[in-house]
Amino acid sequence: MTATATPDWLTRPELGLCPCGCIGRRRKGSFVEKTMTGAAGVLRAAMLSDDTATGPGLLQRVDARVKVLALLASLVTAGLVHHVAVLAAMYVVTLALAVASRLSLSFFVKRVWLFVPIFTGVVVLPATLNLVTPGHVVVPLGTWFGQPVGVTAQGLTSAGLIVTRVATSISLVVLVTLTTSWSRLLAALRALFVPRVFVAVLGMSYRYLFHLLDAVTDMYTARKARTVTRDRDVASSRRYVAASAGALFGKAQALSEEVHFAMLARGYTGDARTISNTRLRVRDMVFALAVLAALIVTIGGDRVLVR
Amino acid sequence: MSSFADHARVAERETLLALHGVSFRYLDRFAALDDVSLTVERGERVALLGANGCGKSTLLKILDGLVFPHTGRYDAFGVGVTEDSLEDEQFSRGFRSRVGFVFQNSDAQVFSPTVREEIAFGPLNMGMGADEARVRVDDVLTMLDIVDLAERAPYQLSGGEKKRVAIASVLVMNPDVLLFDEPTAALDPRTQRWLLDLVVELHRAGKTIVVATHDLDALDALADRCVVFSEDHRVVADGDPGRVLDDTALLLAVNLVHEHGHRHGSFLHSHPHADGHHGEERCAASETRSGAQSPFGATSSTSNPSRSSR
Repeated sequence: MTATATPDWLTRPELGLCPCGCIGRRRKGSFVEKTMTGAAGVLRAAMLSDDTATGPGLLQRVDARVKVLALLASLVTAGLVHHVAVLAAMYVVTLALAVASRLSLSFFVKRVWLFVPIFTGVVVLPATLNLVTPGHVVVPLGTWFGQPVGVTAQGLTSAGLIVTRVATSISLVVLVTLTTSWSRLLAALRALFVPRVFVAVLGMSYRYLFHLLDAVTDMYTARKARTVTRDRDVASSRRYVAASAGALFGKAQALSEEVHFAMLARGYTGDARTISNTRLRVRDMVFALAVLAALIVTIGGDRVLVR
Repeated sequence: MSSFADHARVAERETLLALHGVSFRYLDRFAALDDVSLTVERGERVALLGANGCGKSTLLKILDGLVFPHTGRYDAFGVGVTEDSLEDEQFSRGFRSRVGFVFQNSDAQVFSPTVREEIAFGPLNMGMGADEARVRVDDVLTMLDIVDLAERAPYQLSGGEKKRVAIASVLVMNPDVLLFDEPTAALDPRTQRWLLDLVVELHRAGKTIVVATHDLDALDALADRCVVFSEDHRVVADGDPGRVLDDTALLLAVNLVHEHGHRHGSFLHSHPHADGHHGEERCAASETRSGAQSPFGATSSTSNPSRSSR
């Protein structure tokens, strides 16, 4: 091997802290940094979700298949209910189940209500106005082309119904995902006749999402470790993101080829086979019956209130 | 041993894998293997030695029927292994169950949602019943001391744990031949030791082992035969580890060891060096006055780095 000569500059210390002891200007994180922090947050949330899914609460003890079926039935019921009070009662039940499953109530509520105003509130807001939903104006807002504009009672009722329905539905989904580990959820989907290849692809996508998120975080950390001045140029950040996306695409492609080889090496021929699920227990049956009874009562109560 | 006994032992030999004049190129341009001929007998422990990029991993992929030579022929258990022959379901199932491959990158090999499902993947794809597969999975989990990991997701595992799971997922199929690609790479010393002990144990159990490595320190545990690849992707030596490791000129030529220089007081001296270990230091062989521009001398001694380091 050839001899290696050490350049002179490598033996000299670089200028570190300013000799006068002054403190430089502080800078805020770029959009890239925020995105990376978000990616790390996704990882942490998934880890937390797995922790809560193996906890000692009520829903954690119920078979995943029963939970998935109960969820589907509950979502359909929430869609069929026409009375806000009934939906509100369903929502209160989800809160009670969250407490019984030893989930943090504040975390559970925040996780639901963080998205409801953003995705539903914006959509239903115009529907509260008399321009969209005619009716008795309860909050006058002024005039538009000579016509009085305001929030109507009928509009508020419709908006309330939609928001409560969405909040209840999201609560049900969050309840099941927080109390069921991903692997059991996939096993439940397989048992409920979702195509095996679809479930296998879903499972592998989720698994490698973590791997690639790690790769992204590593790439960003490596860049950050060598960034000593403020990057004023947004274009350079964009270039970095584009280059990272390209590198990540290459990594993902190489990884997918290796994974395919690893599957072939163990006899994969296109048909995903998995170990069958465990049997249902009495408590699973009791839970299923209880949910069924509750949903019948809910629909019955809604019909009575609508009349 | 008498010549008769030697003859009897040779007669008992059974060639499991045989490569005849195999060449392989990536994208039809970048050579990975050039006219490689090699046989692996039942019960052997073969180490494929060579610097990075010499074609060891590609050779393992060919031995596992994952890629196919552009020229030459590969036979396993007396049958030609080609894309065509692996389309035969019976041959494919027989071949896959008899040859197991532990990849260097455990992340690629551990792809299922849980460890238990990962280990069951092979047996189930081989057509084994769920009950039998479940028993085998439990046995392998116990054997490799990873029962606690059974329900864990791969992203919750450390590097060493992933390696154990990857090995379990191959062992559960009870293959005759085990192919390992850089098994000790990126593992902590404790896990490396565990892995080397496992290879010894598997060999005692009658398994044939083929290991691609450049870890010369692990050779004693890993191999009783070394096949050395040059950087131009050809086989340049094939023999027992002692003979190969004693050939310093060969190891220098294939870049498995390098000249290392360091300072003793005001003197600099150099000797061959491998994997962070000093060889038998013969300071008298080449000493240089301090003050030379480069700290790394270019002269070489004849001491063997690896043998003396162990």
